[in-house]
Amino acid sequence: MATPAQPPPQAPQLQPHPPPPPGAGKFATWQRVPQRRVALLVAVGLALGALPVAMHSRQPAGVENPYQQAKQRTRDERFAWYHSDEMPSKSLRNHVKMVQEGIFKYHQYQVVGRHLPTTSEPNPTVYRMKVWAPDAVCAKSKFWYFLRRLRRVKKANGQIVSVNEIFERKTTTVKNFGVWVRYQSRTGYHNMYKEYRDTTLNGAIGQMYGEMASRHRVRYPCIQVIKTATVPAAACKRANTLQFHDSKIKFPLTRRVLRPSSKEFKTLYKAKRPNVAMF
Amino acid sequence: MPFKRYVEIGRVAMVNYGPECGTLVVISDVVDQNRALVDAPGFTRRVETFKRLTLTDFKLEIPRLASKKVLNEAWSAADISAKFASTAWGKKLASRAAKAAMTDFDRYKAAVVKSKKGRLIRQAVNKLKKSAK
Repeated sequence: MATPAQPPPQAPQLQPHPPPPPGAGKFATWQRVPQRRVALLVAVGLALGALPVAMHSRQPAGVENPYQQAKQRTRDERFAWYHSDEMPSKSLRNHVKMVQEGIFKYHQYQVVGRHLPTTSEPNPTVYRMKVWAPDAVCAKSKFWYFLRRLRRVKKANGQIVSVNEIFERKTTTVKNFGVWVRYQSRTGYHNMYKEYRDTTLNGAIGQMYGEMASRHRVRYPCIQVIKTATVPAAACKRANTLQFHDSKIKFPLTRRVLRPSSKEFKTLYKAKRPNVAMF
Repeated sequence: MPFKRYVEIGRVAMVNYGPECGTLVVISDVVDQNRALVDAPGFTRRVETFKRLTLTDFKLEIPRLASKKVLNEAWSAADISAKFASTAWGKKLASRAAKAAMTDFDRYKAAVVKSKKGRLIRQAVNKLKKSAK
């Protein structure tokens, strides 16, 4: 199997690319891709023409690999934030890291790839896809899974240009996320529209995978996320979402269970009977 | 008996689990039936599950997703921290914290005071017993 690392001998040498068209280069380097209104869209290949990206594996010396840059920038930026004065203690820092960034099972990745350059097509079309995956390796796999269904490009004759994790803006407000899903059940394929309230799209996608697994017994490999969107309150459809669109919302917590303040204080038996008054 | 404490925007609650255990927060938006966005002065607004919150009797008059400025003003105007500290619940937490912060010498002093107190009581009781004979 010819991998990007070992191109077939007949593959032509990469020629220096022409200068980038304005705006086209923005996917080549690391950036935080904002989650604006309608986020896209797995399975939408975006042709970017002549994208001036150094090839991932056999890049010439002196050209920085955007993937490496991304990793570096991300780590540095996170480091600076965790060690800034905003974070008073290490345990709190770790906790905030967890709750702010979220301990998401599925992260959103932007994967960019293309067909290997050939003599007939020295500048193949570059495709970009946003996928949810547990890590970058799985994201690349998902990318090839979708791309080989959509275009005549597969892992054996293609290459990954970059993989970037997409981080979200404004994780301190609640949004309504609409998720369009296609999934394979035991009998056939089904389409579905689901709505979730969450602060992050990753959280909503995590809810979706959890719900699909519980209600329909469908796991991650059988689910294709067709489209996601931040849905304005007026356009929401599901009763479970609509009932929280109320600035005067008021409800009691009807089931209170005595919990220890930390895991280490957990006991099976208690000397004192707990107060289970609900009021 | 009807419910007295409700989940509503502006409800002051206490975090009862994790590193922020014991901090007072205010509900600034309800995410769903299990989670709320909570905020407090000097705190980054974030999601907390209701399992980790205990509601208090206090409620701030703030709008949904109130800004830090509005929140801080409402918080200090209502004097939430002092009010909570004066409740039985707040006093219990304070005494627990004070006891946990005691040094060995503090404990010794407490033991001495306790024995002195016992002696005084015993003397008074014995005196009464004698006079009652």
